[in-house]
Amino acid sequence: MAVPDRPAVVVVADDDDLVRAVLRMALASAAVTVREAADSRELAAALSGGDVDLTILDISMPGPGLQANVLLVHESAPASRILILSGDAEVPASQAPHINDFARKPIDLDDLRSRVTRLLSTAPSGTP
Amino acid sequence: MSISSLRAAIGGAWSTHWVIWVGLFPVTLLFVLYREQALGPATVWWSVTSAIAQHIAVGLVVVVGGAILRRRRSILPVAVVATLWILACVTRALVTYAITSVGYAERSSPIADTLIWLAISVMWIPVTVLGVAEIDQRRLLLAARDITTDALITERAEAEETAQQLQARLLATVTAQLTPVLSDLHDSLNSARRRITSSTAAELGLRISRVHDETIDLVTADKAPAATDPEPQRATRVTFRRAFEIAAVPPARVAALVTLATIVGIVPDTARVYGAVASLQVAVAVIASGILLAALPALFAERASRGKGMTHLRATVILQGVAVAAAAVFLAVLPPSVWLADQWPVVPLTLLGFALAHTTYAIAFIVSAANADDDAALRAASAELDALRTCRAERSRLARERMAQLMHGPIQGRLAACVMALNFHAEIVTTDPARAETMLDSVLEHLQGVSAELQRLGAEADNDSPTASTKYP
Repeated sequence: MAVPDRPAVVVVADDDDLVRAVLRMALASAAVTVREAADSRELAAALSGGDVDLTILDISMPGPGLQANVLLVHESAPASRILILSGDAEVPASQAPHINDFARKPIDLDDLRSRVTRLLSTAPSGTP
Repeated sequence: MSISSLRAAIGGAWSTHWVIWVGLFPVTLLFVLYREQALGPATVWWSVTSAIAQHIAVGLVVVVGGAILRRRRSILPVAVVATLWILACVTRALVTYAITSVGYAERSSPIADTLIWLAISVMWIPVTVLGVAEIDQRRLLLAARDITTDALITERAEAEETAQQLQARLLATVTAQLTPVLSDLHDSLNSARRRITSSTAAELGLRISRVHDETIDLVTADKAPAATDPEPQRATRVTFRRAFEIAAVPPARVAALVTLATIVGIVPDTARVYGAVASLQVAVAVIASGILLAALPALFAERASRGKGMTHLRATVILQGVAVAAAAVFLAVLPPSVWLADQWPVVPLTLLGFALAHTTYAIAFIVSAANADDDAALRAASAELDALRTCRAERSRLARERMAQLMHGPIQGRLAACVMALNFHAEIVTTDPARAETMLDSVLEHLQGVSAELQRLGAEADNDSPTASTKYP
């Protein structure tokens, strides 16, 4: 799943520390580096580190809201794909064109890994 | 009685229905026996045979013809139904002519018979069909009104529940259902933690996943847990007795129609059987009784206005009794009295015709008017019901939105995290037991957090429920 020449960088943004821990442990490998963010401020910091290939974004993180977080990802890391994780059955229609994938929590970890692999091999979505 | 309801009744199934055809036989039998006296039947059985043959012919034209025509369209145009009944009159006259040619002293006149039957049909058939159709409609209408009224009572009671109270009820339901399950899960996990295997972890993950899904179902279910009993099953039609519980009397104009219908039915044949004088006596007696019939409802109206509401049945019986008795007296006192001559059969026939005409017209008018009132009441109740339901749906939506917000992170999010953590635990329990142990601690902590949050919400629900008063739209 790695991008050539360096490990893929995945930002996991979720206010639940257990979710972040599980995702980090499930995804981290020699080919993937995981950065964590518990809110929008930490998300901005994680994105500012550069070279982000994928952002896994909780739909209801504390802070300015999903739309602002998606915009933040697109502005700070234009090359990053976006995977939304949510307890809801569907993503808001206004955000659908600006993300790459959507999955409902709790997600099966094998399913998560295959989605991450697929996303890392596709082009990022458009800016909102 | 409106023109539109009369048109609808005549175009509907009852205008060619076999029940009406059968119901008309006893009356037409009497009329045939009476009128054919003038033609000198060999025995009375010729008249009976004639009446039966005529009625079968009418049935073939109207009932069978109607059934065939209704294969293509259930509602027939009035002109088509009228044509069927005109054909029935012609057929009846032709059958009479054929039979009187064999067993009678004189042959009947097909033209005269056709005209008389046409006049009788005009005065009696539409009103009979309308009366039966209105009674049938009334039984359906009242049943529908009962159902709507019950639903309205339930809905009005539920309208008293505010969005806050609904939310409190939802919270109480969710808390009551989830708390014991979570407690059980927590105990299972705690007791198994020292010897937990990957399959145990996966199984517990599955159980938590089910709790997570149930939480979503409880919050987002379309129908709120019912605060009242389910609606009882109801009959689609009320009883005939209930259908006739009408507090009204026939309008005065019914008297004119009853008079006309009786005269059309009795006078022409009386003229043929007993001569012009007897027919004039009948006409005068019927008109006098009709005038009485027109005057009497005013008395009932006055009585009703004094608060002594009279049912349709009692008013009709009293009116009929008085008018029929009056007709009998008039026939007795108008010289030369038909009571004293061999013309006495005209007396019971006139009285019967008058009573039948009044019953038929009174029922048609009263039930039609009552149906119009009940139909308006049903529409009003349905409109109120729709408005209340719309309002309740909006309240429910608001309450569920708030519920979803309350449950989203602290409950659903934590449960989802637990499921994912247990799945991961199952993957690493053998390869990295230390990390798996840490993960299990986090899961237990999360489950405790969920239980605590549920208890807090449940306590809030208890506090909110009795005092809530703010109503959402």
